[in-house]
Order: sequence, then C-alpha cells, then structure tokens
Amino acid sequence: MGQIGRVVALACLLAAFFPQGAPAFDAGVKRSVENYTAPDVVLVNQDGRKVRFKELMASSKPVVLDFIYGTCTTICPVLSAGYSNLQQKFGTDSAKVQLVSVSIDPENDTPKVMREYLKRYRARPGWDFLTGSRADVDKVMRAYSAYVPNKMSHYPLTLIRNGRDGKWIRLYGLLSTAEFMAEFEKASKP
Amino acid sequence: MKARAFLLSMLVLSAVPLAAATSGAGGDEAFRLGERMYRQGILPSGEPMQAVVKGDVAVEGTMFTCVSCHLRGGVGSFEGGVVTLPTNGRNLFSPRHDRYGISGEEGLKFVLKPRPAYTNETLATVLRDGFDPTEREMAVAMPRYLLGDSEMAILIAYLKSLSSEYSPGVSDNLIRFATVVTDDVSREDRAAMLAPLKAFVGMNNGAKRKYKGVGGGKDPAYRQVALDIWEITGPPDGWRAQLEAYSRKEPVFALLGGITGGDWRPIHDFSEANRIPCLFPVTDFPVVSDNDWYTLYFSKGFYQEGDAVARHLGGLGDGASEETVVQLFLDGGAGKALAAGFRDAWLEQGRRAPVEKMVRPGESLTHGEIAGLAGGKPFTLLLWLDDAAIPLLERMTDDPVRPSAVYVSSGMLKASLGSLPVKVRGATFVTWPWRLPQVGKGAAGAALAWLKAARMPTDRKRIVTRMYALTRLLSDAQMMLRENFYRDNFLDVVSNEEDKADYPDYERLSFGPGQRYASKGCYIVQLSPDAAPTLIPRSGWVTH
Repeated sequence: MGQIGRVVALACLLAAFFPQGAPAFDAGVKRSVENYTAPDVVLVNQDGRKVRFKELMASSKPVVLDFIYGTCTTICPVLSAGYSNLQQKFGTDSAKVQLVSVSIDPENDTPKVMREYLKRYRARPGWDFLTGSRADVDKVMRAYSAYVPNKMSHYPLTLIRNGRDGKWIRLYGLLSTAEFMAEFEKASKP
Repeated sequence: MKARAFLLSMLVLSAVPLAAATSGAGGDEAFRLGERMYRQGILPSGEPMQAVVKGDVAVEGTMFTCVSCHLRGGVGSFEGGVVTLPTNGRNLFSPRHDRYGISGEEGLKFVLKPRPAYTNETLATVLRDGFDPTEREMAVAMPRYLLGDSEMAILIAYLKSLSSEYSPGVSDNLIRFATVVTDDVSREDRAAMLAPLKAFVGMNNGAKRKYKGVGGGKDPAYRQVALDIWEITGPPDGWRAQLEAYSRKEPVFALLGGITGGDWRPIHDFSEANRIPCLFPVTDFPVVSDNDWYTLYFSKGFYQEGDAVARHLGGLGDGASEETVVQLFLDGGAGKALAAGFRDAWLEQGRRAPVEKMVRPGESLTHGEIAGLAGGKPFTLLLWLDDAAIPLLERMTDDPVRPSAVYVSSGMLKASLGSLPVKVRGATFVTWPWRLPQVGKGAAGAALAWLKAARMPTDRKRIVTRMYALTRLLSDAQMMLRENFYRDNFLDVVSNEEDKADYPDYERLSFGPGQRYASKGCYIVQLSPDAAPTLIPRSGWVTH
C-alpha cells in the first residue's frame, strides 16, 4: 500500500472511533479545578446493591472518580492499575478513601462483570464499580463533563474531590503513581 | 522507576540464549505457553507476568494482558486516544517503509515513522524497555514487561506465528463467506434471511470502493465477495459432519447470518472447534457462554427474556421479590431456555430457588395444582407456555387463589399475545426484547426506507431487518479490516464497532472485546385494554 493509502486507511480507522479528531495522551496531564454537582440517581454496585450516587459523592472520605468499562482495551486498565496501586499504598486503610468507577457500558457491566473486573485488579474495600440505566449513567457523565456518546470514544479522566472546599481536581490524561499520589495528597490535605 | 527496579530485582533472569530458550518445550507446548502469556498474562511458570506502566505503575500481566490492547488477532486497536500498534507476525517482522499520521486539535498528534523489521533482539528490547529499533520510545500506556530470556523467547515465538498468514477463504481478489440454512426452515424464512445478504454481495461486487479515491488505483484491500449457502439436512447430530464436509471442500473466511428453527449449538460448536467466525445467525436458541469466542449473536434469545424477568422482579423492592416464584415451562427449547435464564439470574441474586414444573405439550394443570406448588402462599407465576397460556390465564382470573402477578413471554406467545383477554391484562406482564414501537420510531427510519426501496421481502419474524443489521455491521467491518484478513482480527474489528442505535429491531446494539451478545436486555410491558393493544412499558431496559 502506498503512503497515501496507508494514511487514508488509518484515518478511516481513527475517524470511525473519533469523528471529532483524536486526542493523544503522551503530552502530559491537563489539570483544572472544577465545581460539579452530583446528580440524584440510584446506581447498582458490584454486589448488586443499590447506591444513591449523590450520597456516595458526599462521603466524608476523600473521593476519586473515574469512568471505565469492563471490556475496555487500553486506558481503563491503566486507570484501574492506578486505583489498585493507590489502594496498596493505603494498605489496610484502603477503605478510608472512596474510589468510584462508573461504567460507561452499563448494558454489559452487570454486577457479575464488575465483580470479576475488580477481582482482576485486586480491589479492596473502598472501591465501588457502579452501573445503572443508560439514562442515569448519562446524567452522571454529563454532571462531570465526561459525557461520551459512545464508549469507544472515551478518554482517560480522573477526578479527585478536594476535601477542603468540595471542588474537584480534574486530571485529563494518564497518571503515573507518583503523579496520582501527589494530586491525591494535595486534594486531601485538611 | 523504583517499582521497576524492585520488580527487576525479584526476577531471576535466565541466561539462556533466545534461540535456545524454547528448546525445552515442544512446538505445540511452546505455542500454548506463548498463547497463555499473550492472552492471560501468565508466565510458563504459572505466575503472573510483571510489568510497569507510565514509569512507575506496577501492574501484573493478568491486569494488563497483551490481548487486552493488541487484541486477539494482534492487529491492534485504537481506543480512548491511545493507538495500539500491531503485534502480529506479519507486521512485526516486516519493515515499515511509510509514515502514518493523524491530525489532532494541535496539529499532528500521532506519527509512526519507518522502521526496520524487528529481530528477536530488538523485539525483546521494545518489550522490556519500550524502545523500537529506531530508538523511538513507545507510548506510556505500553507496559514494559519484566521477562526472563526463556519467557521472552516463548512470547516472541508466539508473536511470530500470530496472524502471520491470511486465514482460509481469502485470495488476492476474493473473500469467501457461507451462510448455514437447515432443512426445517420454511421457504419464506429462507428467502428473508438470504435477501439482505445477497444485496450486500451485489453491492460489494459492484462497488466503487474497488478503486481508491486518490490516484484512482485499485484498492489493495478490496475483494470480491462470494457467498456459499451451506444447506444442512436431517437431525442435529448429523449437522457437524455436513459442516465439516462443506468446509473441507471450499473453506470460507467466516459464516454470515444463517437460520435454523432449532438450537444453534451444533453450528456454534463447529465454529468454535474450527475457529471460524459466525456473525449474527437468526436463532432463538443461541449458546449462552461467558467464554466461547467465535459466534456473535444478536441476543441470548429466550434465555435473556427469563434473565430479565429475574432482574426486574428482584428489583421491585415492594415485597414482590420475596414471594414464592412458580415457573411452569413447556417441555421444549423455548420453555427450558426461559426457565434457565430466570433461574440463573434469580439464584445469582442470592434468592430462594423458584418452584418449577415442566409441562408437556397438551398437558393442562388445574388452578389448585398450580397454587399447590406454592404451598398455599402468595406467589408470582412465570408462565413459559405457548398459546396454551391464554385459556389458563382466562380461567385463573376467576379463581380466589390466583397469583399476585403473571409473567409471560412475547416470543413464546407470538401472534397469540394480541388475544390476551382484557380482564387478565392488568395482572399480566410480558417480556419484550425488541425496540418499543413507540420509542425512537424515527431512529430506524432510514433503515426501513432502504428496505422498502430495495423491495426486501416482508416478514413478521424480524429476519430481514436483522440480516439488514448484519450487512450494515459488515460494511463497517470491511472498512476497518483493510488487508488484515485474519479470522480473529475480523472478530476483533466487529467487537470494536461503535454502538448502533438506528436499526429497526433494537434500540441499541453494543459491542466490546469478548462481548458476544449485542442486545443485552429486555423490556417488561403490559398490554393496553384496547382492541388493538399497545405496549405499555412497566420497566426500563432491564439489564441488571
């Protein structure tokens, strides 16, 4: 295949996933501070239990939120490995931090799928994987400026709630453990 | 880098040269071990592979398998802004002469430069340290694997064999498919299944796509399509031999659609054993499996309806979910699949097993017998019967000991659903695994207009419309497949398609690696009391 053909082929491939242009994440992490209001929806966690999302987000613990799905190929494993490493750093105190992953593939991510996913990442207490109706999941994504119409066009996003003023640190990109810990410690300082 | 240094220190690196490292394992065994490393992230020792991502994020291979990003066929993926490069034999061990590039918001965001073919040594370097033969560093999402020499040799040997030659059924100018039709299918249903597939073949073979837009040369990825019809006769236990014979005589790249009145199991097993993809057959009896790979279904069929009732009932939270559940199911594929779907999902919720009774065709039960199954307590009745359910329901409404609610299957009742007596509609809930007629009617407008313009045969069984959906998915897959004609990659490509929300039968078809049932839920509805009843949804799209 000639050069043009190859570029056209790749462009076709990419355009199918990213109609508005593909972001890239080697350039570093984009950081901003945002105000978000949690929607009042009821989601389901990995144990099949109903969870009032707004109450979970209002937890007195530090809260970290991301958007993933069980059969994601590329960025969810990096995000989830970050959660896993953070929990390991906290050891037996892992439940003192509330980690939340919201499924962006709610039809497929049943409690059983989510349990198996968490098991793969050796999740400890304090990490909840939530699913729900597509309408409710859409509300959550929109509330945190994380809406994607299709799961294939999602992007790596980690949100950390600042313990002092309730504002959210928005981190767009893939974080190293050191970057994640540094941001987390900044956000959770009294 | 501390994590990496720590993990490296934990590794006992073998000094066995790459070429000699697999000598301890035979060819088949080395392949199996390599495949396990690639797909499951498990070392030949049985321990998980270890790796580092983003410089210091320590991960285990079981969290981060090669297959999760590079996919089963090894041709790679593009998701979430991360480009995953091909790792199949043909790509790795050939030089890349050209540049690939895409534009992003701030100019060129992703560039692949020419590189020489990998050797064992340069491949080991990129897997361990993340640098390709031109010293260019891989993306941060690529794990740097901590592998000993013998482990590395086994993985490299596997990668060499991965998608190294085109799969059977593909030549320089033709890609051959087949569709399976069994002899219990009516002439009308057979024609309905074949019509959209034949239209697809006709459009492909007359397509302008055979020529590139730029320069006008022939597109090297273009192939004419041939569609064979594999006619299968006799009882199911003889199907496998017929399928094998067809496959030996004229191998095909994949099976498209297909139709049988019975269980798809024999065809599913043939696909699985021969690693031949089978895309979206028309069947109410798919094989329900968490692990099988080669057949993609539209849904789990009747099983899914039963599953949805369990999830709906379990989520009601008004005491209904605590009642005894009685399942009466017809002795046959549909009844058994509905009962199994309910039972599995009900028990998964940790609930008491339903009381079950299988009913033979023509057998009738009295109300007393049914109530007796519940031990005289309030109960919910699941009536997985065909039109025999109608008179039973009608008589039941006059009985003082009647169930709190009754669930029936629209798929089993078929046309009888409309004759559900008005007096029982208030207590009868119906499974509805399709797009609601009144919801998003316009979304499928373009599809319906095309079908009408193409003069497709009309049928009540959604055969034409489902096969139309298959041809649309296939067209998209062809664009993505390009020249990577490997069967596993074909499934990878379909699995990475975007969700579809504009097909006539389903409000959403969704995909993903390993996901094998594209429509994943079911509505619970009731019928309005009108002479021409409408469907009143009593649930959202029930998935969990």
